[in-house]
Amino acid sequence: MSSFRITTSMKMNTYRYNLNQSNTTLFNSSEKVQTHRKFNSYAEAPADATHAWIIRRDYMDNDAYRNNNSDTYTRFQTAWLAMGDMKNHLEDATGRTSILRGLDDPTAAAKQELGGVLINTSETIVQTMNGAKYGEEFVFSGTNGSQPPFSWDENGNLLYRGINLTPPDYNAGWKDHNQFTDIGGGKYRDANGDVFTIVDSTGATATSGYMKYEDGTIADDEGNHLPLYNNPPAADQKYPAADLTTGSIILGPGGPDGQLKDDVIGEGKLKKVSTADNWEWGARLNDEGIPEDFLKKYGDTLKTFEDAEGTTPAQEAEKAAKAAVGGREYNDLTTDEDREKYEKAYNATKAEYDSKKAWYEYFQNVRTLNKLAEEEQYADLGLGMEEITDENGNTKMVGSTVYNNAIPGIKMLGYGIDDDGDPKNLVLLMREFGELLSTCDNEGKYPNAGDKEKAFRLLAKYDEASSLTLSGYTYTDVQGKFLQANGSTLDGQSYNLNEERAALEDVDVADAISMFMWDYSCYSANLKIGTQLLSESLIDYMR
Amino acid sequence: MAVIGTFGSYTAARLGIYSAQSAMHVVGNNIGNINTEGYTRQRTDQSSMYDTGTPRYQNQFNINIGYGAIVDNVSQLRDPFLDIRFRNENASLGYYEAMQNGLEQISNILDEVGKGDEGFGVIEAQLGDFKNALDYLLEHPNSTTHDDLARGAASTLCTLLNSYAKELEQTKRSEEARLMENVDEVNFILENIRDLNEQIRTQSVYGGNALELRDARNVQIDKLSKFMNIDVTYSMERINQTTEVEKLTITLKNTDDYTWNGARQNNPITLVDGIYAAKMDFGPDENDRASIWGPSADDPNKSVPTEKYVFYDIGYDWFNEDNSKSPFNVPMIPANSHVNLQDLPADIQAKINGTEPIDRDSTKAVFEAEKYRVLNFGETLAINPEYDPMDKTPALKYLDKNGVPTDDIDKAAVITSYQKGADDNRYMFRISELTDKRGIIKDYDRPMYTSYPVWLDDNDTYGYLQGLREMLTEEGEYSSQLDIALDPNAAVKHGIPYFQHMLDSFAQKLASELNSANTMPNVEDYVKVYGLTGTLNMVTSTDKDGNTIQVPDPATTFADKSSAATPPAAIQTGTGFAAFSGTLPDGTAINITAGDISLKTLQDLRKVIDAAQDPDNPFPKDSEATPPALNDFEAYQTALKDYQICLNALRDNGTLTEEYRFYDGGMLFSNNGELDDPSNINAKNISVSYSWAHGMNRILNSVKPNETYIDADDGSVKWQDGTTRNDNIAHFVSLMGQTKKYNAKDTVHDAVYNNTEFFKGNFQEMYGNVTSTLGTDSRTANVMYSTYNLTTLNLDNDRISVYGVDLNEEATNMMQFSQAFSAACKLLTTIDEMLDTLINRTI
Repeated sequence: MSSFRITTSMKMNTYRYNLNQSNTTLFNSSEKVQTHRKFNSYAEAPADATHAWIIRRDYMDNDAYRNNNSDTYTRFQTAWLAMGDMKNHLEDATGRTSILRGLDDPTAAAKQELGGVLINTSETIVQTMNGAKYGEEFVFSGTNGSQPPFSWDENGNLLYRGINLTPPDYNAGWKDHNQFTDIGGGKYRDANGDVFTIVDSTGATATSGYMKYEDGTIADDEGNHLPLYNNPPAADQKYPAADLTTGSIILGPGGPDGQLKDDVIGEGKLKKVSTADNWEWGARLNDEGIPEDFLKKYGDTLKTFEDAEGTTPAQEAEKAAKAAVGGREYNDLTTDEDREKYEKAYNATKAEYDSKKAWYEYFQNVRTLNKLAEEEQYADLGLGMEEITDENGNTKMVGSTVYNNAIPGIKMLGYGIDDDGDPKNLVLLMREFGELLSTCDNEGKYPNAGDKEKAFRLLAKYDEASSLTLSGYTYTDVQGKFLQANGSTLDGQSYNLNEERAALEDVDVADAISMFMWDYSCYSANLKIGTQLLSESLIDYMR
Repeated sequence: MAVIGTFGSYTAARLGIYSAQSAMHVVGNNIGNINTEGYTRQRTDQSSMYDTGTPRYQNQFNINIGYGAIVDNVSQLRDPFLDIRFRNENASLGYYEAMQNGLEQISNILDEVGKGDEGFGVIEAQLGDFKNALDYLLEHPNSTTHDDLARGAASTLCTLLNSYAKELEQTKRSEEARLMENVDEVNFILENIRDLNEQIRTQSVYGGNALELRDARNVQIDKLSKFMNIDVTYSMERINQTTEVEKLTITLKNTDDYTWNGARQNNPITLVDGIYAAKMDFGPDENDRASIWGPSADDPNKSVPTEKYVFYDIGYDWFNEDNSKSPFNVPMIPANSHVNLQDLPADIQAKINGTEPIDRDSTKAVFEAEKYRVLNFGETLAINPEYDPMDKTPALKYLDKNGVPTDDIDKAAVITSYQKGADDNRYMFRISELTDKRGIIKDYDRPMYTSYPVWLDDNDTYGYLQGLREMLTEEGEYSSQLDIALDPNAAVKHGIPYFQHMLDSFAQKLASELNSANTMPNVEDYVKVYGLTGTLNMVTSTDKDGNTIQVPDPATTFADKSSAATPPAAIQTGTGFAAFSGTLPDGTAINITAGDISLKTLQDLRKVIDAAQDPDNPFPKDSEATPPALNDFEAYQTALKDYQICLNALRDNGTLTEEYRFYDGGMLFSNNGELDDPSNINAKNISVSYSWAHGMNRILNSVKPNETYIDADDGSVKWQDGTTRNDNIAHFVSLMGQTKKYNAKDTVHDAVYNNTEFFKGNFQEMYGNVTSTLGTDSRTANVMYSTYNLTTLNLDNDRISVYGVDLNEEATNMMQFSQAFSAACKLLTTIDEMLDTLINRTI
């Protein structure tokens, strides 16, 4: 500051201002030394403070993510241990089943023992799944962690969260009534996906009769497609020997009447089907493991069988029974023959409808199980949790931004049936397989014809189901590794965020102290000026 | 040799002694006053005495020689230009000092830098804790412990917000007290200046220079200049035919074009005019207005002054019959202004009042303004900010009720100050008429020039007072149309109300988002979740205060689900459904009959609420035509409250269906801890709801319906449990990080910024925005204050450089005048010796 005329009061005025400034500066630098912070209010450094808060928020978030990650890791660790345990059991059982595979007909003891092992292992697996808990939460219960995932009911059915996993008897109803799918236009598709029309013995289209495929062949009972002789010979004329090949269709006794007969040379009979006997659910299971027309018939809303069909097995049985005896009530029947007819019709229809009901309920539950297998339970592991809103205003998590820590037990063990009607669930398969082996007699013979084939069929499926479960083990293993890696990343981020925060907020101690010392010197010098220099004037030197 | 008596030289020596003595006395006075505030150094004005007359017997060879020195005067050394500069800057210093003080106090509450555990802040940290608690709950969705933890974190957050809001309110009160005290101080200064003027005037009349009084007056003016931006002028006032004295006038700077009600002879607005001074006040206290003023025609609950004014359009003036401009008795009316109706001639008043048609051929005079509006005192018309009469093609002049420009004065929106209401107190200053010490009004006997009280415009007092006013009134983005009309920069100024509103916006958004996430958005959802088949019927009941209220009838409404025989205990407020009819922005007609409640009514209420919350199509809004009953904010509030009562009743009395049996959500935040009332939540009242606090409500794990399955035992349809399903908790966690839009109108219903959000960000960012805005404002105020502090110091030093006392200088003067004194004495003795020689030794 300079001015033409420096007066005493000017000097005092300026001194007061400068001393105050100097004191303020000293205060600020001493505060920095004391608090180790570069700024102590937003106003001192708005931009740095804003940035520092962003980093602090990230740091706090990161802290939560690390905790979440650690919790989730523990959860998966629990699952991984359980799955590892199962893996050991499976390896043991699989080793034993290899005996079966290697030795075509092992000793009876080996079969029975293997059967026992499989049954025991299946139960152990259920116990292991149920025993896997994270805190109070059952790890394999999907999103109902407060309840154990699996249980057995009094009928020996395996239940997942109360839903029956054990399929009804394949041969009762399903096989007979679920043979083809109506694809419209008088055409149908069989279980193999081949399209056919139903023709009567004259070759005319009908709702009941023979399965005539698009290539002109006819199906027999074994599912073989037999060529139809398309150039009928004249009356009494024998077929040329060359035409009488196995699988060819011949005309029946009585001459060439132009009608199909159900005799097939060298084979069984032609297969006869009827749309009335078919359940209209479709012959094939779709990707979701339910008959392809099941949903078309029953819609999205789950109802009881009675509500869906508008009838009960007993009502249908009674109706059929009455029809069998000319519409009369049972009490009105007078002959044993009629009563027998009535009862036979009643029992047959009741069995058919009971079977239909059982399968209906089973597939409805498969539909629910499909949803339960894909349940999600979210964890916020710092993946950028984000929601999207669809056109209906419903919000949904973006899958890649959240971690799904639900481990539905049925996804590990499988559920539903395959095209052969065999359960896909490992436990049920092991149990069925085990029970089958256990039924072998002392010589290792299976009690029924076809059991051996079934045993080998189940063996193949057991391998498949085992691999599903083993891949579950791999899944938990991989997830555990991911969580470990994520934890490391989060730790690194935490460190970096803290470093960044420190760089923004914390003072360099050497700088701060030297600045403080400098400010202190300035302040001291200022005080000296006040006490020694300012007070002097010419008057001090006047005589 | 001059014609001088023998002893004449003695006189010259004596005068020299006198002069030196006087000068020494002035030096003494200067030194003595070196620390006196405002003291202006003085100096003796010394001149040489000589005789210009010619003696009758003068020798032709005579030469005129002076008779010695005389002290003509003692004067002050002061530079008025530097005073002006200093006072200009001093007003800015005052303004920023007030801002800095105010912001500092707000910062003490809101600025969390370096506060809290490890510097993580207080509310910032609490928000983080709440978010973390939600994250933990996400991990453990079936844990009531973790829900309790989240509730605890939320409760602390609410308490902190309450505390901050209350502290802000307290700060506002103390700032208000400070403003009142400072207005008293200003009045004291004005009174002082007036009294000093009178004393100086009296002394001047008798020839005195009243230097010390002037100094005292300057000190007072300097003080005044910090409070407001003033102009100081000096003029000569004629006392009588021969005497003129200096008159000091202080006016408010930049009020030459003053246009507010009743301003006419007082442009620029005068604070002090010689021996007259004005006083400053705020007019009637808000609470007293109702008794002093009359009820507003629009709203009997609002009070407005009963005086009437005419707002007339630009370009019109008063004319006589001969087309010459009429002086009337209001010659100073500026164009585009108000004029007091009572000041108009009776016949014009009659015309304006409608009792007589306006007629240009009137015998006396014609009111040329064909377009005018008669307004109440305190009202004005909304002027389009784009309008500039100097433009070649000016924009339309007015804004209508919807903010649409119009040139039709009849459609212009009337904006009113001084209403009873939350933020209506704008602390507008009123400058009283100029009165002298005895209380006599200046020019009371000259009607054309009689001094009148005037209201100041928003920015007329730039200085400490304005800084305080702005701290008390400025609402930033929450400003109303009137705020903007009064101050075009209102939307960017941030006072305590702005920060209060920001906290309110934050609290509201937090509560509404989290409440929404925990409740069902649609009536249909309630019907579905509670499996309702009955209708909602209202019956009369009594609330806890004994008031008669309408509540849903449990007997009929919940006949299918509930056996409750008494009205729900939780319903303690509300007065039942109001009747309204109107049309929603989408054209939907709404007709609700009071007391006749059905689910459709509930749905209609919801539509009203949704429409009100639609940022693209705001509703309710003012309409140009006859407004439907729904165009009423209170109606909307009633609808909201009624709706809530019904939903609470459903929750309390209904039974969740199997499919939704997990649905135990509900209101999490309320406007008090005793109820689950989410209406009108703000930072001061936000609380954890009664039901959440008592464990009746929980954070809803999931909003997805339970999956169904068929039970193997009996073939019945059953529902899966989802005890650890956490999709809704994930939604909560996601909400905490989601970007939300903040609209000023959501918080302050008369906010002019309606359709555009003023901030977008997540909750923490919003709170950060509050503090960063505060930080930036504080920094600006600090920097400006420092700048003006230094500038005023320099200017003050410049002034002191001229008028200040310097000890060295005074010491030099002391020596100089001492020497002069000694020399004069020596002259005396020398002359004495000469005469001694002449008289005693010559003869």
